[in-house]
Amino acid sequence: MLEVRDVSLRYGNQHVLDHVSLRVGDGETVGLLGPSGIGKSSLLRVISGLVRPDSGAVLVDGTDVTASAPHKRHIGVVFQNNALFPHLSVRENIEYGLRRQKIRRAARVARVDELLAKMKIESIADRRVDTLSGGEAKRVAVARTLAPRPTLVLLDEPLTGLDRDTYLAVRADLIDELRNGGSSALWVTHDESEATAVATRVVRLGDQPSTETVIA
Amino acid sequence: MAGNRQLNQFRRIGIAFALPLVIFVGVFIALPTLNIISGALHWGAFSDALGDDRIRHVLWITVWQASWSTFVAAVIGFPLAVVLAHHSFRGKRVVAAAFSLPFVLPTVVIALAAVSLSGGSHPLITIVMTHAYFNVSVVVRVVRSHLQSTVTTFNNAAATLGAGPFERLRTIDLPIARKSLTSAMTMVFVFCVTSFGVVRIIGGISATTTEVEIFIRAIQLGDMPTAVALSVMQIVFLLLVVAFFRPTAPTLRSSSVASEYQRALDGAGRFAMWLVGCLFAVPVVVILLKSVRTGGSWSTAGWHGIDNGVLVNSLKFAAGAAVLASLLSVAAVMAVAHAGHASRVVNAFASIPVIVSSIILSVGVVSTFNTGWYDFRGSAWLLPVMHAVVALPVSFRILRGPIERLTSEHRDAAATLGASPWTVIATVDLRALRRGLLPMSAVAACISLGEFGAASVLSRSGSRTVPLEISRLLGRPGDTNQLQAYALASILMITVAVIMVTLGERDA
Repeated sequence: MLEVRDVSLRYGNQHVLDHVSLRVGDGETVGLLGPSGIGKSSLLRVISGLVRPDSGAVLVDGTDVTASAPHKRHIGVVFQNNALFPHLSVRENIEYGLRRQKIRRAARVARVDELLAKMKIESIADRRVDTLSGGEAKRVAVARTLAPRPTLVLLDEPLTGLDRDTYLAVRADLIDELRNGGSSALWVTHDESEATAVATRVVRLGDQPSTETVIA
Repeated sequence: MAGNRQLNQFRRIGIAFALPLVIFVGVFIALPTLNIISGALHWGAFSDALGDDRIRHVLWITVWQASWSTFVAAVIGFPLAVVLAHHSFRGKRVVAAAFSLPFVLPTVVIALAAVSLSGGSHPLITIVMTHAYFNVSVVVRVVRSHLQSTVTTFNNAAATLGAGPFERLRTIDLPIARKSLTSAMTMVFVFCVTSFGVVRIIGGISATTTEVEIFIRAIQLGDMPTAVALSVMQIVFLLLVVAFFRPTAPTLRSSSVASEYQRALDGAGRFAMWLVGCLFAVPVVVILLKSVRTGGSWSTAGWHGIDNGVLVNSLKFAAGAAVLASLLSVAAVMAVAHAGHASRVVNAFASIPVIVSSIILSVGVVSTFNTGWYDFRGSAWLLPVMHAVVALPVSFRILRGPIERLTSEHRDAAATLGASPWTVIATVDLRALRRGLLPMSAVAACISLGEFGAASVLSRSGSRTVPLEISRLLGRPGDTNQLQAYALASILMITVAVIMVTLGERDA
């Protein structure tokens, strides 16, 4: 499914990623663990195409996508700060990726309704996103990412900032949705207990080149 | 209670800072303007003006050119702002500087380049393109600042949801940046309506706008009632425009965003940005070439006969204007930050010079301060004061950047660490402003160096400025005069570039 091959990235003189390699199999959820500043979010940006690595390659289903633009990769991202579009309603946010795929209106509405139900946010479908609570916003961000059925889902510390009850509820729904949907996923976190709870396999991004430690 | 007491003390400090600005605006803007309006205006002047075919044509041309100039500046500036906000590429600082260059270049210089490039034909289109050239930088600065600080993350999210560059521009950047784009376009429209140097040099007889017509009526024909009626119409019209579009007084700074959030631009994109950047430098190259080339041969005659006196005058006036604009802007931003509800009034006071004709203001100054101990007409300090007035709206906005980055928590933290309100002002607010002072002074100095309208009215024979000398030389026959005009324009350009590179490019 996803193969990150010997990727290096620098910002100025600072080495952010140093010969990192990683694999995510079909239908697998891999937890990517590591301390703050180790380059986890940068690795997600490289995989999604938002940043081009200085060297190395990113392959999806065996195809080298290193030079592809992010909108052509079909890789979904749940951003740490959600990045919900402030000028669109909840429904319009979720529908956004489907519109880009030129899916017909009836099919779009059906898919959005399905995700609103699954993420338990039907009651806020027409709300402005700046009126949502932290948990609601996170559910909308997840629904928006999953709507176009991406081949791979990247989650950048997706549960940061939620209170305990909301955290557990959103985490459970997110795990269900990823597993039932059959999507492959790479879940970035600095919390080891979260990584072991959500992932079928956990990889630690270490500070040594090519470190890939399977701990669960 | 303690919190309220602290707040009240800050408010009193804010009002104390507002006083010098209010006094300055009252003496050098409100008093002369009201004096000339009350002295020269009668209701019949409005009907006479509106009944005059020429005046109606001037009004139409003013709105027409300002609308088109604004539209062209927005169409060019918005995509450039989007690319600069969301992407990184090699040489981005140079390209961004090329887009910013026109805003600080003297209007006379660019008007001169425009005349050279167009060959003097199609003056209206040349005016529109010249205004657009100047004001693309306003659109880029205002929109980029907004997009960069808020929208880059949304743009990235849209890209991961399958939106290509044009779809992102249409569905994300344009709707979210609509407010800042409207703000920028309103500013540009106001600048284009009140533009003097560009229209005076390019327009000739066929393309005259209200600002130039005010000059012709007031200075050349002595027809003050019509000049004042036109000025009042212009002020009312611009107030209506500003009230309708309600620009949010954006700060003129380029906020920074962590480079890792900006995507690398592909080869075609890089080429396009460099190409546009080079096109922005064309007028500069034209001016330099025309200063050494005439009638198909090379000559340095223009550079030999330059009057150093006008250069010294311009530099002295620029220094004075920069110091005064700095003091006023510091007072204004401190008042806006602390004066509570009164801050809106201060904001309006600092913006007034944008909508008041610099010609009518200068005539007002001359006719108000003309007798006894306050006969200032021959005073050397009058021109830098008027230049500070012209620079105030821009310098005020530049200085707002650093103060807006401070939150009440910063001041509260200082207070809990033992700082009195005045100590908070000195050690938190004023210290934060220090970073913006040099860039702001640099821009104010550059505005003064290129100012043409007020100088046309207030300069005396011993205090001519470089733009006036350029205009004078252009009006004279002979290749040497033309060469000298272009050489002076080159020197002005180089001076502005040196000031901006050494002082102005530091991020405020």
